[in-house]
Amino acid sequence: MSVCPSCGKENPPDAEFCQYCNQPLETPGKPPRLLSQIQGLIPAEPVITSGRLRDSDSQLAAGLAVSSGVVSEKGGRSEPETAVAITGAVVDDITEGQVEGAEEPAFKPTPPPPSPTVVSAPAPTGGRNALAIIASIFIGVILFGSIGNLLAPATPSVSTSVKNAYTFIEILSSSSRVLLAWDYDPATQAELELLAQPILQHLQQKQVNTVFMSLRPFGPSVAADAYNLSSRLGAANNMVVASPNPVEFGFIPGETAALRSLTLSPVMASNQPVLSAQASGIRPTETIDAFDLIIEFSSDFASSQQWAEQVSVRTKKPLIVAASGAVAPALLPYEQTGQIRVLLSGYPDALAYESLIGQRGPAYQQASAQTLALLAFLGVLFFAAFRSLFSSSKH
Amino acid sequence: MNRLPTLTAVVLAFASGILVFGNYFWNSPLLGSTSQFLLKIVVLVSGVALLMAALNLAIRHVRRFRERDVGSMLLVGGFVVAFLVGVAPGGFQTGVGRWMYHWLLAPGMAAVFALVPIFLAYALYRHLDLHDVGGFLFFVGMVVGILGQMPALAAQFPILTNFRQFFLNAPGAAAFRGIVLGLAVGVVLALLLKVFSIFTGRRSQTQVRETD
Repeated sequence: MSVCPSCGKENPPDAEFCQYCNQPLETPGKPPRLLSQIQGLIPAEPVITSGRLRDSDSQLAAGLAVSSGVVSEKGGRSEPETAVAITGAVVDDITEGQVEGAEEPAFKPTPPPPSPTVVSAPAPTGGRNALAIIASIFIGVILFGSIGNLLAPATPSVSTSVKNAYTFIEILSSSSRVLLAWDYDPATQAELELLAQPILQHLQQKQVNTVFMSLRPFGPSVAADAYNLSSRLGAANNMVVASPNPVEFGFIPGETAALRSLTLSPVMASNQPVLSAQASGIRPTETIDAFDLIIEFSSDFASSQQWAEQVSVRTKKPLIVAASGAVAPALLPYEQTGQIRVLLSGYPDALAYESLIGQRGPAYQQASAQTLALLAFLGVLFFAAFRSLFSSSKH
Repeated sequence: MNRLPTLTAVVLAFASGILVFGNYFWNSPLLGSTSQFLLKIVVLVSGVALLMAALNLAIRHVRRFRERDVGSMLLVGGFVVAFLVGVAPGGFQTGVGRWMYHWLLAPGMAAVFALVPIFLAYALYRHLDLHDVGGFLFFVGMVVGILGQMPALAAQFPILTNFRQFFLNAPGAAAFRGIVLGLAVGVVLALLLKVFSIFTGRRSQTQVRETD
């Protein structure tokens, strides 16, 4: 046990700070660390009042930032992101110049003794310029890629997952019923709509009955957008024959609880049970087995996880999940156990599905821009890697 | 006697949990309807909690609103408009709600999300360190991932896609499965310990510290 020199209370032996008054504990033989230095200088009580710093506090905070070597002394300003990462909102306010009377830090504590364990932040090298250059490169390549479509592959590679998803829809008859869950927001609409629209077109071609629902408040809106886009594209390509309008079950709140209710009675779980029953032809006593196929469009791991864990285990009907590129890798274990029968992900599968239904849609038109943007990202990645190899900072 | 309310709550929670849990193993209509009723209550309680949180947020920002804080004014104004539109018939599907969704919410959210790759690239430029094992693995994973999903390259060299898929299927999925299973077991154990400590009256280390 180590005793706090400030309040006299006992603390665990490995504690660096007192659990009662937040003061640093003296541990002989232990080298000082940057975190210890910073936290030791910050008082136990918060120093920010109404979002602004008092003069004395700002000087203290400026001093600790200078002493830690994070903030340069010239003008009391530095790279905001570096400062924020280490000293939080206190230094943030200083770097933004919001503090009255804190142009030059008056309080400058003695610099700490050098130690091999001190973590030094990398020196800023034109950070803002780099951000502007990276943003310009991305915008430039995307615009250039949008002008022509020279890099679009004539025959995109089609994965087994895409072929399986295509087959599951292809074998449906016009009396089949498909449940589509729209679990994404406008933020990821650009990515998932690419994947949703060829699947929707395929369903429309097969003239199956579709039911829309969502675990997210914006689900009905993104579903309406995707459906309208699909109908427009289909009409432009003379591909869509008259298919029944989708029945809207709406936003069903409650995630796990909502899906458990849905498995027991989809109609009763919907927003308006009577209308839903009349429009879909599903009786309130019917379970999730009333559907022949379930397709979820997801940008959220938790939603897809709930579909796999709450719904898929209670029905033999196949579950297809079309997920964003960031979410799909996390769902692979569920595909391997068969809880998710087919897992589609992001842009490559959208391009492949378009080729299977014989359409050159939005995914095909974006192929060059996608390729160039990824190349640009790869370029930045390699530049950063070489820069790090030849830099002096080593851990 | 003063522990009676706590014990009642624990017994009720335990009974509800067992009923819902049992419905996973026995497909009886009684268990089904009971667990559905319980789940509806969960949704209602969550809804009330959300309303309380929104009310708390509104009260705090209304105070700042009075101090002429521009950010709070915008937040409170946006909150009131979005709430009214949301509870109006049709919600965000018709009229003003549809307009708000199409011209404010969707473009705003999409624009913010579109900045993510730029900031990610910038963060890599600033902080990628190949001397660090984690940094090196991150670099390799990103290269394999990007090369394997580049439309033009994937069509010409399917091996890149296959290699990416192997990376995701084998080490990636294994690591993630470990995380999911570990988390699930940890949560169940933590809950059981909590319930056990309430039943036996033993206090956890945190409770002891808080009391002291």
